[in-house]
Amino acid sequence: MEIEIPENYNGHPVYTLENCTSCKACQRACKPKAIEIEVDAKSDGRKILKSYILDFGKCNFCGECAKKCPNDTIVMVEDFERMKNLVGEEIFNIEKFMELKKELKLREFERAAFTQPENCIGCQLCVLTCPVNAISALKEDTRVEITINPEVCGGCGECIRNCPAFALGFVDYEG
Amino acid sequence: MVFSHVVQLPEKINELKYFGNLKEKVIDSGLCSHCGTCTVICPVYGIQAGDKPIEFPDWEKECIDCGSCVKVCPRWDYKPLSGVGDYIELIAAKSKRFSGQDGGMVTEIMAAALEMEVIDASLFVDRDEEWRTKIVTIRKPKQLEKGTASGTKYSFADVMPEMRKAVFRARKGVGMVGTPCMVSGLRNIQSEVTSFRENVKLAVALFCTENFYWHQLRDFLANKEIDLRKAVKTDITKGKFIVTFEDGEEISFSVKELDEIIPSGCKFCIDFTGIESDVSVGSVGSDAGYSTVIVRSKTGKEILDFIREQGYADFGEADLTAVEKLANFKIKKNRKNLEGI
Repeated sequence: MEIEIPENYNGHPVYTLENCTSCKACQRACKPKAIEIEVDAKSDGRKILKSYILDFGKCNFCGECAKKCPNDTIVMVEDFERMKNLVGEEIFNIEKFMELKKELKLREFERAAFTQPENCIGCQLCVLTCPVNAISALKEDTRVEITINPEVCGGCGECIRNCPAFALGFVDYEG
Repeated sequence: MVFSHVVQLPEKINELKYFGNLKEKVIDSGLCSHCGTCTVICPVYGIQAGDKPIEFPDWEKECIDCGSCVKVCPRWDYKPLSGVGDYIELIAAKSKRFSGQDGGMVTEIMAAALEMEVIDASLFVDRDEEWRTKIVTIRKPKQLEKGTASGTKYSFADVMPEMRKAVFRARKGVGMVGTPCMVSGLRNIQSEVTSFRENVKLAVALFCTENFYWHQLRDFLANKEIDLRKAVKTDITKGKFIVTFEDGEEISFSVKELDEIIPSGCKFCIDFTGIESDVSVGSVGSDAGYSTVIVRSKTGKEILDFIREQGYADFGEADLTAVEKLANFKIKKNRKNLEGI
């Protein structure tokens, strides 16, 4: 059976989360309104990404979202047949995109880590900020242990940008 | 690669979450100075200042018990400061460029710091028509030539909550004008939190005997048939609270009358001059039309020298004894209140 590739096909957009600043440029760029982003904007200008949804049933594969993204967060994968099998017309959220990234081996090596751990005050803003729940806080009587799971971390850097203590930074991580 | 870090938590005084601890020891006890430093660090943005005592609605549920508010609170582990403090220079000055309270030197210092690019944003306490305080961010000295950002307001202001935004967005540096307790709060958060340490470059303290809740001051004045909406200036000089109106008329009364509305936290303060500031400014110790300027830090000294070199201000002699007298008066007035804590 011959596969019909849509006109003006520029690839399937894959939201990688990497370096995403929750600016919503992709949502604004999307003519068929396939992208829906929910951001919790705090009074001081901090942004917390609550959800990211891309509806492949609505996507027209124009690639405008990737073009308008200032951080190269969206990768256009030009393999119509394979991508159609992987995503179909499904609605993808952050969790599904993270799985897709792994499947496509799109995963970069950048992860958030404690680059200046001595600065950490244990406020847990990173825990509250992480859109993939990669950071946890374990509290015992007089101490709290903050842990980043590099296997789950998507490298968006939201925790790094939001940390008031400048305790976090990117590191290269190869598993 | 470090993916895990352990942080020690402050010691609690009760079994409640940390905000419950802060509430019992500092807020409900009346010790809180309303400096607002706790509001700046709360990761769930739950702690609120404003024209009422510091509160965190629904804290039993919303507080995540991280301990940050307790860590940055200057009155949790209160070590009261007092006196004139260490300084490099004590001088009287009058800005040639800005009119403000007395010699307009707070405005002058911030304007100079912006020009020197020590800072690129300065938080000022402005007001609305009813003298409700609001914070404005000044980026260019020109913005200070008009308007009501200059001049003393005598009401609590949300400088610290606004600083959270300024520090998060800071490029070069942030400057702030505040009461001695706010400056102490700033120093405390700077000792704990890197972004505040690196980004807040200038803290100007105002000589302070006490501050008020806006609604209480308004109501008090209304009872005296003083309508703040028609006022252009408020001032405390030589034991008198003076309100000046558009038509130049003045009404004054003894500041002692205001004792009944002094917020509890101010009664535990013995810091008149703002010991921990870069520069402290006030009226006491200078002739009318001049500000007394106490320069304490290297940054403060560089700014004052710049003002001198540029010829932005006239200078005169300040009377140290007069400043000491008021500083001692505040100690005398409030020291007994500190004995109980």
